Amino acid sequence: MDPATTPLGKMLLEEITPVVMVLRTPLVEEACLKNGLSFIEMLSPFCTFSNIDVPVRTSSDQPYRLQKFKLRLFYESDIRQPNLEVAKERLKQVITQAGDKDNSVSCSDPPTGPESESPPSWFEFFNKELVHTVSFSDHEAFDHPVACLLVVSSKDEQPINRFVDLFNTNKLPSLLNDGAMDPKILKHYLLVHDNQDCSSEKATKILTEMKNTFGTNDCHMLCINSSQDGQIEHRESLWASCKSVVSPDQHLGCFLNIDDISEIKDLMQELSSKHIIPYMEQKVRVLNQQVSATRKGFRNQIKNLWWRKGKEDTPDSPSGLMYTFSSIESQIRVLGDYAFMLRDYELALSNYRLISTDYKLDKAWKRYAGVQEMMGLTYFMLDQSRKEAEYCMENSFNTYLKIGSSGQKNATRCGLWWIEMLKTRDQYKEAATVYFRICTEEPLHSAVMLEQASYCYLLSQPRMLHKYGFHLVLSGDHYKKCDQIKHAIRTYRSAISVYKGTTWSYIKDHVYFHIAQWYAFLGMYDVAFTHLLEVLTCSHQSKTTQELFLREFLEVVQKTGKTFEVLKLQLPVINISSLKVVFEDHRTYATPAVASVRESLWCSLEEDMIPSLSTAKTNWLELQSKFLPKKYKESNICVAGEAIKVDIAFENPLKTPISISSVSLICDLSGSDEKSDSSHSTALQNDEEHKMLGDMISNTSLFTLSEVDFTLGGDETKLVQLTVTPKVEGSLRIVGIKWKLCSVVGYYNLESHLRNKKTARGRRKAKHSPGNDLKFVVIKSIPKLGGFIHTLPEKAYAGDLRHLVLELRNQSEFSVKNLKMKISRPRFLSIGNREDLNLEIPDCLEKKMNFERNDVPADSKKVTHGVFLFPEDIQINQEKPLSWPLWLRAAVPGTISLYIVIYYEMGDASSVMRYRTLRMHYNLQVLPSLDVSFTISPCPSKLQEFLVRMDVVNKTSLESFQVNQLSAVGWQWEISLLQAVDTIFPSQSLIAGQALSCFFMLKSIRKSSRTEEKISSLSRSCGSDVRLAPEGSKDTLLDICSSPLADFHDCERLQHEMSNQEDTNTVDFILISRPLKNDVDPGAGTSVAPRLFSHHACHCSTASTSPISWVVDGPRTTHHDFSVSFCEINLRMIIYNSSDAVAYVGVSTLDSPGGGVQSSDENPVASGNQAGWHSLSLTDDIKITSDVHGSDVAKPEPLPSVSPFIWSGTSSTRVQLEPMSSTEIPLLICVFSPGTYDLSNYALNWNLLHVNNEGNVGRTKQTSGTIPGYPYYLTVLQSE
Amino acid sequence: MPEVYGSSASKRSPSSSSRFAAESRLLEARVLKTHTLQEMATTACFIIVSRNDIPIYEAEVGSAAKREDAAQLHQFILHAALDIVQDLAWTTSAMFLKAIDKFNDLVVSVYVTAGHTRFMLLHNPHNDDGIKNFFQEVHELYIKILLNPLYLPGSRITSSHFNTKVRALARKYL
Repeated sequence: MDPATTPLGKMLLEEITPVVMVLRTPLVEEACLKNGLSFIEMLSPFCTFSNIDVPVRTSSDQPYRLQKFKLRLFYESDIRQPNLEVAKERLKQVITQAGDKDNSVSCSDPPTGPESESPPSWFEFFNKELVHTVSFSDHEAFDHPVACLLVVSSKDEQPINRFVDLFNTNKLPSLLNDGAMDPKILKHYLLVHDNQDCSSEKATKILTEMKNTFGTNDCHMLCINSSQDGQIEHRESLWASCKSVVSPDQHLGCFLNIDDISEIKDLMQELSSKHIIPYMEQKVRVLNQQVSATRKGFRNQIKNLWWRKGKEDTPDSPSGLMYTFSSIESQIRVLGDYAFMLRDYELALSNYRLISTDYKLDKAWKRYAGVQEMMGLTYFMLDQSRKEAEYCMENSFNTYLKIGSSGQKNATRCGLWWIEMLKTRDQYKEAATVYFRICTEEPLHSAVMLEQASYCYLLSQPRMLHKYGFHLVLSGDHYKKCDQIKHAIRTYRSAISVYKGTTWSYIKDHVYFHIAQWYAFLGMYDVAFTHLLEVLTCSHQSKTTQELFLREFLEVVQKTGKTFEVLKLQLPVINISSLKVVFEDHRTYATPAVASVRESLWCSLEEDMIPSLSTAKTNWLELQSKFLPKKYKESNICVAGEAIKVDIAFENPLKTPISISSVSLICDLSGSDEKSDSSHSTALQNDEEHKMLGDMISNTSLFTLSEVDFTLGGDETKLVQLTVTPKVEGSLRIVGIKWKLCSVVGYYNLESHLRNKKTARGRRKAKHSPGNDLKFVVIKSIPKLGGFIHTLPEKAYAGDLRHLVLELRNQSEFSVKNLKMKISRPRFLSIGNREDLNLEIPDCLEKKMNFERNDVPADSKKVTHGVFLFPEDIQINQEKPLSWPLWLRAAVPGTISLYIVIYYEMGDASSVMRYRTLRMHYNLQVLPSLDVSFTISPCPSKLQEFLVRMDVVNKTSLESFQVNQLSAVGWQWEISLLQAVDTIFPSQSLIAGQALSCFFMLKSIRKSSRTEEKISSLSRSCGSDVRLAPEGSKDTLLDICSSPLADFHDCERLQHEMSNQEDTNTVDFILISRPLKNDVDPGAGTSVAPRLFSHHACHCSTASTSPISWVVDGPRTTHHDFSVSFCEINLRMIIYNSSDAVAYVGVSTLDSPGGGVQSSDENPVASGNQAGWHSLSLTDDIKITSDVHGSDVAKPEPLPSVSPFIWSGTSSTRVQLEPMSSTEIPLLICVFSPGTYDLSNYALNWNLLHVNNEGNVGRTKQTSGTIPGYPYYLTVLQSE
Repeated sequence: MPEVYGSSASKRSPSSSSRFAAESRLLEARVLKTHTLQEMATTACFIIVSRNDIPIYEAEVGSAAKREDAAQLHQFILHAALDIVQDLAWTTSAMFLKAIDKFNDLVVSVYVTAGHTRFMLLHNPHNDDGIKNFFQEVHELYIKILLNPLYLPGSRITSSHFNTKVRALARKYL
C-alpha cells in the first residue's frame, strides 16, 4: 500500500508542508472581508495542489517530480505557540458543538447493537485541532515559515513604504526574532487591488514601482472583487472546509468572479512552483553540502564525538536555546524537515538519524523526541521497517512524557500519529492502548481519547466488546466530569448495547443508573424512568445504594408528575409459584384455611355422599350446556356473589421498606350472552398486552375487586390475598395483578407467566390445563351454607369427653335440604341426636334409676358408611340456623386433624348446581393424660374368676385426676373391688406423674347358651361398675351404655380390633375420671364446665394360653392310719371350657415324679402369661407379688426320689366338654406313707372341635395342646 | 450524588500517562508510603465466570477497606479482561494464564479450567506463585462443587462452605 494514500499519509502531507507567513495591511483584509472571507481564507482553497508536477533535485543529481503539494498560510500573529487556554477553550467548543449536533441522545430508542456503531465523524476534526495545539514549536523546523508573503492593498498610501514597514515591525513572530530560525527568509510581495474601488491603472503603477524596488520576480498583483453585483455562486466545497459556520444570507466569495479565482490560482501556483519549491531545493542542497563537510566522514564523526564529550557538564536545559538557527544541529534538522517536505524521505531519514544521536548525547530530550517522532513518520512514509517506525514512535512518546508537563501536548500529537500508524496496519488493539496512554490530566481530552479507544476495540479483529463497553463507560465518566452530559449519555447508550441483559449486576446497575441520572438531569424523565426500572431490583447492592436508587426513581417519577403504567415493574417481585386460587363451586369451605387441605382427602370423604360422579356430571353438564358455550366446559365454576380468592406472595428484594398500594386483580368478565370475547383471548401479544391490561380496569361494574395496601419491610415476603367477586353470570378471567408503587402502576400478567411456568402449578388444579386455571364460568347465585362448631377446644387431654354444637347457617333466601354429614375421625367426633342438644356432661350420662332406655335413636341415626343423614324434615333457611349436637372425645394423644364434610342440596331445583358440600377442618391437639392398662390373670382357686390389675399413670404435667368409676362392659362380666376404695386412693386423686396399681375381681357370669350371647353382644346393654370415687362425693355412677360413651366405645373396639376378636374371653373396661381442680372444691364438683374423661381398654384377654381351665379340688390335709392300709384320697377336677367350640379333654396321670422336663416346658407358658404386662418401670416389685401362676411353677420343689403316691383309677380320662360348660372328673390317689405331696404330675390334653368353621378360617388359633398340671399340695398325716 | 457514587473509574486513569513525570513520581512515593503504613492494604476481587460469561461466584478478598464504588469498578475491569482471556486461552495449554491485563495499578490474573470456566482475580501486582497456588486449590474446590449432583453446571455457586474455603485460601496465598 502506498503510505501516502493512508489516512496518516494524507494527514502528514497536509500537516507537514511549507508554511508561508502572510503579512498584510488592514486594507487588504477589508477588501477581502467583502466576500465574507479573510485574506488567507480566500487563498487557502488554492494552496493545495494535487498535480503541481514540479521537478525537484535535492541531494542526489537525479531529479524527481513532485505531484501533490500544499502550502500552509498563516498570519504573522498566528505563528507562535498557541495559547494553551485558548486552545483548550477551542477544543471544548468543538466537543460541545458536536454534542449539541448529535441528536441520538434525544431519541429514546435503545441502541441497536455494537455492530451498527460507528465512530462519530468529529473525532478526526478534534484530533486535528489537538495536533494544532503544539504547532510552531521551536524544536522542530517544519512549522517554521519557509517564505513570507507581504501583501499591501492598492488603496494603501505609499505602498512601497508599507511593504518595508510590514517586515520591519516588531510584530514578527518570536521564532524569527529570538534566533530559533533564520530571519532571512524568502520574501514575496503582493499588491491586492480591489476592482470595485477604482480602475487598475493606479495599481499597475504601484506594481511597476514595486518591481523596481523589490525585484521583478518577487512582485505580483492580485485583482479581486471584479464582480459588481455580488451574485456569483461558487461551489459550496470551495470554502466550506475553512469556514465552519456559514451564515445563510452571505455567499462566500460573492464578489469573486471566475477571472479573480483563476488569478488567485495562478498566483499560488507560481508562488509554489517558481519560488518556494526552488528555494527549498536550493536550501536543501546548500545545507546538505554543509552537513557533509562538517559531519560526514570518519574524521568529522570522531571530532564531533570528542567535542560533545567536552560539553557534558553543560546544564540540562531541555527548552533552553542551546541551538540557534546557525548551529549545525538546527541546520541538520532544517535539512531533514525540508527534505521531508519535498518527499526526499531517504535524505530526511539520514539527517534525522544523524541529529538524533547528537541530541541524545546532549540530553536535549525534547528535540530528541521530536527527531524520533519524525524518524518514525519517515519510516512510515518509506513503508519500510514497521518495527523501526513503531519503535521510534514509542521512544518519542515516552521521551516526551519524560520531560514532564511541557511535553504532554507533544506526546499527545505523537501518540495520535502513532495510533494512525497502527490503525493503518490494522493493529487496533495496540492503537487502543495508545489512546489509553495519551489520556491526560485534562478529563475532556481523556474522554475523547477513551471513546476513540473504545471504537478501536470495536474495530479490532476479533471484536473486543467487553473492552469496548468498559472504555465507553470510562469515557462517559470523563465526559460527565466536564459536564458534557450529552456525550456522556451517548457513550453510555453505546455501552448499554454491550451490557444489555448482562448478569454482571454491578456493571448493569452502574450503567443504567448513571444514564438515567443524566437523562433526568436533561429533563428527559421518561427515558430516565425506563432506565431506572432496570436497577430497581438490586438486592446485591448495599442498603445505602438501594435507597439511593429507590429515591432517585421516586424523584424521577415525581418530577414527571404523571402516572406510569409499567408492564415489567420489578418491584416488588411476585412469586408466581406461590399463586393459589381458592374458589367455591360445589365445594365450599367453612374457613379459608380449609382450602389448603388436599383435594384427594376431601374426595375420599365425599365419595359416599355426593351423587355418583357420572350421573352428577352428566346432569349438570346438561344443565350447563344450555347456558354456557362448549369451550367453557373445562373451566372452573364459580358462583356470582361469592369471592374468588387469589393468594400470591410479594417479595421485597431490597433492604429498604417499600410501600405498595392499591394491589388488586385485573379481571375480565364477559356476559354469558355476548360472543365478542374471542377477540380478547387472542390478543394477548406483547404489544397489545399493555394496552389491554390498561383497558381492563374500566369495567368494574360487573365485579368488585379488593384493594390491598401494605408495606414490605427489607427482604420481607408477604402473602397477600386478593379477591374478585363477580356480580353477574358470564365468564370471568383473571388476567393479572396491578399495584401502585408511588405513582407507578405495575402490571403483572398472570396468564402468560403461568404458561411459562406450567410445572410450578399448585396441586389443587392439577387436573386442569394451566390456561384454564384463571378462567371461570360464573353461574347464578345459589345458597351456601356456613358452618361452625362451637366450643371446640384446640387442646384437650386424652380421654376428654365433650359436648359440642355444630351450627349451620344459610345466608341465601333459598333453603337447602337433604343434609348429610361425614366426619373423618369418628373415634374423636361423633354425631349426637337432636335431643342431645341441650344436654350437659355429666348429667346426661348418669344412670337412670328407672332403667328407662333412650337407646331408640341409636337405630334412628342413619349412619351408613359413616355418613350421617340428617332427618328429612330438616331444611335450613335464612332466618334459622341449624344447631346439631356433636360429641368429642380425645381418644389418643397427638395432633389430630378433623375433617367434616356436610352435603346439602338446593331447595330450588332450577339452579345450575344441585348440591354443594361444606368442608370444615379443625385441628385438635390431644395431650396425654391417664395411661390405663389392665392385666388379667385367672384366679387359681376359682373357676370363672379373674384377678384384674389396673395400672394407672397420670402422664400430665399439671393436672390431677380423680378416678370415678371403672366399668366392665357387657352383661357377662361382674367386677368388684378387692380392697376398699380408700386404701386404693388414699389421696382420692392421682396427681401429675403419679402411678398407681389396684386390683379387682372379675367374675364371668356367662351362660353357655350361644343364642343368648349373641343378643348380649348386640345390645351390649349393660355392664358392671365399680365406684372408685370416695363415698362422700355426690357423683353418681355413669351409665356407660348411654349414647356417646357407648358410641365411642364401639369406635375404640373397632380401633383395637385384634386377631382373636371374637374370642369371648376378652373384656372391655372403661375408666371414668375427672380432672381435679385444686382451686375448686373437689367434692362439690362445681367447676364451671364439668368435664369427664373416659379411658377405654378393649379386648383385655382373660384367657391364658388355652381355652381349658381346671381346678383340682379336694382335701388339703388328711389324717390316715398307715398301719392299717394305704390311704386313698378322692379328688375332683373341675374342667371348664371357655371356648365356643366343643373340646375333648384328656387327663393323663404320670407316675414318675415331675421333673425338669416339665418345668422347662413351663417357661413359654409363664412368659406367655406375662404378655399382657406393660413395661412400667415403677411396677417391678408388684410384678413379683402378682405373678400368681408363673413364678410358682417355674421353681418346682425338690421332690422325694421315690414317688410315694400313685394315681389310681384310670390313668387316662377323656371327657367331652360343650362350649362354655364345665365338667367334673373324679380323681383318686393312693398314698403309702405320710408326708406332703405335690400332685402336679399329670397333664391335660385338650382338643377343640370346631363345629362351625365359618369364622375360623385363617385363624392361627390353637386347636389342641397339652398342659402340665400345676402344684397341688396335699399333706397326709399319720393318724393316731 | 454522582460524585459519591461511581466515578472512581476515571480517577486513576490520568496518572498512568504521566507515570514518568517527576511530580507523579513523588506522588507515587507518597502513595507507597501510605500503603506500607496500612500494612500493604491489598485489593483483590475474585470472580468465577461460567463459560457463558456469567459470573457464578464473586468475592472481595482484599484487605483494603471496602469502598462503595469498588465493586462495580472491579466488575468492569474483570469483565473487560474477558476479551483478552478469549484470545489467550487458546494459545496455551496451561490453565494458569498469569497476569493478562491490567488497569492502572490493578492486575488481572486468570485461570481457565478445562470446561472453560474462568477464575479471575483482580489484585495488586505481586507474587505469581501464590496466585497460582490459590487458583489450583480453588480449582479443586470447584471440582468438588461440580461433583455435587444437585449443582447445575453454570449456575451460581451458593455453597457457604465453598465461600469460607475460598476466603481462607485467599488469606493464605494472597
